[in-house]
Amino acid sequence: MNSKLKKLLCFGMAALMLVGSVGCSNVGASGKTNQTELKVAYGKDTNVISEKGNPDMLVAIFAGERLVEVVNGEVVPSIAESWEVKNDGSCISFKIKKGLKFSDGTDLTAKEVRLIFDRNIALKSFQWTEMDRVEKIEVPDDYTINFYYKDGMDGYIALAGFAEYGNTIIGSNSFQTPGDPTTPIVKYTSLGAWKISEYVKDQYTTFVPNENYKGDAVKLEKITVNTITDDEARVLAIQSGDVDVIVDYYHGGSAYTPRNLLSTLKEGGVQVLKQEMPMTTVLAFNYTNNDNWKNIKLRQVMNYAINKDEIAGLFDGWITPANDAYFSDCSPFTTSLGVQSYKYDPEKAKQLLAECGLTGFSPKMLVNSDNTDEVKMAELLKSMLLESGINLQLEVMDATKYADAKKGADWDVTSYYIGGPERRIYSRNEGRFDPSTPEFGASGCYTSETIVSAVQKAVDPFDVNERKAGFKEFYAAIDAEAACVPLYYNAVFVVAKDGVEGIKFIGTEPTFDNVTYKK
Amino acid sequence: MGKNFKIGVIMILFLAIIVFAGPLIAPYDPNDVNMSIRLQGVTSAHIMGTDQLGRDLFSRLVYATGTSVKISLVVVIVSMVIGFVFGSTAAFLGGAVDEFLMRIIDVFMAFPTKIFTIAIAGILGASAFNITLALIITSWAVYARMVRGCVLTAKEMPFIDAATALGANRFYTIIKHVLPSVFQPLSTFAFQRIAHTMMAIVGLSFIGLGVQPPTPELGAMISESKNFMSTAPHLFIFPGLLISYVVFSFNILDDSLRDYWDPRIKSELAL
Repeated sequence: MNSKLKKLLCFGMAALMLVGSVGCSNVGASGKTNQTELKVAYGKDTNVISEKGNPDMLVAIFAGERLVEVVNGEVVPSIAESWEVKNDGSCISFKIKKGLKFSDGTDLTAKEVRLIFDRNIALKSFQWTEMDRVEKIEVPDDYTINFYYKDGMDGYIALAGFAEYGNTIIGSNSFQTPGDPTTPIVKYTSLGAWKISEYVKDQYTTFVPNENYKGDAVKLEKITVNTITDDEARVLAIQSGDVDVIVDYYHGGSAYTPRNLLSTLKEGGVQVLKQEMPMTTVLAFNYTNNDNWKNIKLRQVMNYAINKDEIAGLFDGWITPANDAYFSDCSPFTTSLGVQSYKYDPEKAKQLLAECGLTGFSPKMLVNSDNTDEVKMAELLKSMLLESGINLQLEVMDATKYADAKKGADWDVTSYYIGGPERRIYSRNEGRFDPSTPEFGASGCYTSETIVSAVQKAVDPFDVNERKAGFKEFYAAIDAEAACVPLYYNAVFVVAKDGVEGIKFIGTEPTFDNVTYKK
Repeated sequence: MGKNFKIGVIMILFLAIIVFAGPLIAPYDPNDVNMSIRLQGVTSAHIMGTDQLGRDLFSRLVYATGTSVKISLVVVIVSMVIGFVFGSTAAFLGGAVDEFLMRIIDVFMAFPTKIFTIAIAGILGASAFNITLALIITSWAVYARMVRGCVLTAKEMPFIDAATALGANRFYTIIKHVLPSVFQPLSTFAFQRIAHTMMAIVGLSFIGLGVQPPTPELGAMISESKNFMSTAPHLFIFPGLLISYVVFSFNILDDSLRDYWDPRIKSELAL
């Protein structure tokens, strides 16, 4: 090869490398961002046009308001300025704030408020809304709404249920037939700081400021929420500068930024914002399918055999190992109750397993291959359990197969979560441990009469001290019965490009109302 | 035999040692987790570093190569046998049987192979057995068509007429004269297909349709490593190099075998 040709080749390669490196620009260096708009990557469709259910929780937080909110485990006013618990709890009467308007200009009245509750009852949207408890709803005047409860179905949990995403107040013009809440939601009008300006299913949702909002004005002109269902694709989107922020699907369980990527992202100059939440990822037993799980010793074996510090290590310490109790400090009353959990002790696990006569026990664990964190954790669990004589069989499958398989009986353990976003903490605890609730389904943890009784004492009393005593009993009961294996305390993560400022968490949910770009 | 053949044989022998003597070579259990040394780079204790769970990467690569190569061999051999039975039956019997068998082969060849394999593996679920089955289902038809073509060509050769004229029966003719003439192109093709099948297995494992974790497999290892390209590049460099090595070994041997058996090339070389 002559020298001219060599030089030409070298020049060509250098030019190619230069062109290639242009495509690898740093996240924070993108000049494409319009500084009045925030582009968010989100793992779910926001489901704004909703045939039978309700829009996604992100919509409920950005654009919606509820009668009440739950803050630090207590119900506080929101759209309702006050409420009264009557007839020993069988009626809750709300007084609604005056002068509020929906995003389309419609005045807020009690008649408008009742529409979402009528919808949830008519369409049987009972999961977490607690509307299955309601006997009837009355609107005695324009600013009062009364809920009457079925016998034995009242309680603090019913009051806290009004803070649930599915109970977000929406206006009568939201429905296909205005004023008829049983028809599909076609145009979301609500009371929050943002309103929806555009929605394309499975692609994006655009929010703009709601000029009828009575609170502080938002700082941005637009938020575009892009639906990117693949976890790693969302990460690539922020690394390439196509989006400014990734928001976890913060009720837990799915569609979040993989925890094992957070360190890499941070090292790449991206902000990683974390908010603890009262939700714990656990290993749940399919005790209805496999009688072995009814043996408390076997459940204790699982608790002793798992080293939670190593699980936290797998996620670079971004999550907190569940060493101290079933729930993290931000769960109701946990800190003050001083609840303890099982400590890692493989020898004790081995001994208990021998006492059960189950040495070599081979439970089958279902694993969702779309969740890379879960796959790695399952491999780690397999290795840990093997040390104690349990040969965990991993069945890794895609999300669709996983969901189908989980509904069936052919599995023994799976990782899941108890608790949830703060507003859902009462209903989630009851829904995971009381088989009579509409939420229990295939997602319940091991339970017993003692646990059911204890969880009712935790979530029902209106009196805070009674609830505290109830939570103490509940935490102690699930611990004593080794109802599941608490693995780690979950958290909500928001990943943001360098230069995005003002993201705050209210409770366990992120808010972007005050977001600005660093100049 | 040329230089390429010798290089190919040496490379394949080396590969065979890795595949069949893996447990003797690997310094650690490939599934032995040690979280205190996770994502370590190259060290004297771990010559290719460790992965996310602190498992020795070299040991996992040794076992992973075994997994991929063994699946490839099973797929190629079983597909070859099925293809041989179908193709030779169609060619020998001819007529309606040939038509019928060829239409079945046409149906299998009408589907885009990769998409068909992904669909079958997706429906069956991820496991070593299912991936093998999916690849056999989508591979055998190619062998059948090739064998049929070779047998039909061989049947028309003058030496077959000569054998028949000398009183050889049909079975003798097939075994003694037809099959040897099919063997050479078939074995060359099979060598070529090993590398091809290996890449298909790696691809399927990469998208999560391969063997179940924690069993090590090259495609799955690369898939897991993609999140650590900047922080732990050894996780994809070593499996990537190994895949290249395996594919190159089979390809170089395939090329030299084809050169050796192809009379036109042989005569050109002789000149």
